[in-house]
Amino acid sequence: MYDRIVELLFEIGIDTSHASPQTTFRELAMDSLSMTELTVMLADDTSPLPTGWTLDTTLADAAAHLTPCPTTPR
Amino acid sequence: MSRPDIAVTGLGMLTPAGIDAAATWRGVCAGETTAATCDQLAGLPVDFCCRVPAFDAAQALGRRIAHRLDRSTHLALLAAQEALRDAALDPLAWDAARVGVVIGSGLGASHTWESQGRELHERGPGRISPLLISMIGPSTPASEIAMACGAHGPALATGTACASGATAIAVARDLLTTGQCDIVLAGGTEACTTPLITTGFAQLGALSTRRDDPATASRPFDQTRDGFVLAEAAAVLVLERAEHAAARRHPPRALLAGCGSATDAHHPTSPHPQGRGIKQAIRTALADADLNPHDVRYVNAHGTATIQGDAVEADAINALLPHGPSVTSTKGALGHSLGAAGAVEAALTILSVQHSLIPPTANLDTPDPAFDLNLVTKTATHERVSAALSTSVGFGGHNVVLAFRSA
Repeated sequence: MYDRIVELLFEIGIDTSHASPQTTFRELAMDSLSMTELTVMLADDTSPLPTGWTLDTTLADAAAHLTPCPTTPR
Repeated sequence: MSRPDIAVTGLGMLTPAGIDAAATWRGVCAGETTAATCDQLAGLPVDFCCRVPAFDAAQALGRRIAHRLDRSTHLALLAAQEALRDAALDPLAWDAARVGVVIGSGLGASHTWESQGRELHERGPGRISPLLISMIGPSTPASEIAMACGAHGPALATGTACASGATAIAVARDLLTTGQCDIVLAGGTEACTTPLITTGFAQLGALSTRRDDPATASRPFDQTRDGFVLAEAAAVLVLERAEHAAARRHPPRALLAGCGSATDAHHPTSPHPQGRGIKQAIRTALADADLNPHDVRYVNAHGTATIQGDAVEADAINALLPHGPSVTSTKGALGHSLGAAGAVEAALTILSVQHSLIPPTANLDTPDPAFDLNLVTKTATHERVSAALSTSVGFGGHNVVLAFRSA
């Protein structure tokens, strides 16, 4: 799921050129609006929707909290 | 009551003739037309429009900003950037609390409304962007410009249909003359050439239907005119009290001498048949600018190329300015960009005053013999323009006239 998160972050205009699993959302200059947007975009990929993320969550921790939902089409 | 002179110290615009003011001025003065068939409108009753040439919003504004905003705000931000450069203003150096922004739009974030509406119906509520609400607000172009350049004074939106851009400039003048601001960025933006909006105007019978030859479709004041051509554009002016501009030694391009606003209070889409509102707005602008009618050397007319609209405006100009100033409608070249048009045409009028050059009305081959106007056709004319008017008219009966003088 890490790769999928990075892919979606790029899609919403976040600079992911220096992203790594240890990077936090805050370090990517994300704000509450982009966090909400990412969550909504992940709705097709995960079930249930991610909860408990903060701007200080790392991308690796975020990915670990997600359960892929392969039956839902993108 | 004596009012301070208002200086126009910068301008920027993106229009179908180019993605900056210089390209637009060149194209308009050359009488080049910009209407063309548009792939996005394929299969619709009217399938052509005037679009701003391709530009990379992500590169110009940054990917994140571009992603978060509607095309109409992209255009407004880029026009504001150019205007600030033109005015040689450094936002890091100005007193931010004294800087305002006023941006008008006729329809707002048309592309976003339409695309998100389609998503809701085709793919469900889960596909609606959480950015939607912040993208479609009428005041978003103004607030985004304020955020981008650090303007902490009032950030306002004006909505007077196709006069919105001109109203924004009139409101900016008031913010300056009343001392609420020292600098105001004012203008209009519109990105409306979508399938839904184009079809809406087509159903109303307002658009030209020359599908076989779109380039010649926008024919203001021509005997064969049959409606307007929808366009997108944005223009922003930097306005300051003249003394403020002088103190920082920046020469004005022209002076905003006066403004007149009036409402027909007559019909949702048709002008008052005797031009009650436009005549009142012209009179008010002249009085506000302390100009006699014969002082006016040039009128950049609203002139959309509708049968009735052009006739009412021609009658008003002829009645109130019977000495026969030169008259142009730049919509022959650029089409009608609704809420941006008043700001685009104000900018073009300023350039005429500054450069003593009056652009022609593109596609005006046979002036309607019913009009007694001194219409400029085919080629730009060199003429000293000591004072000029820019007229704007909007659905709902909105009329706004801006008067400019040479600096």
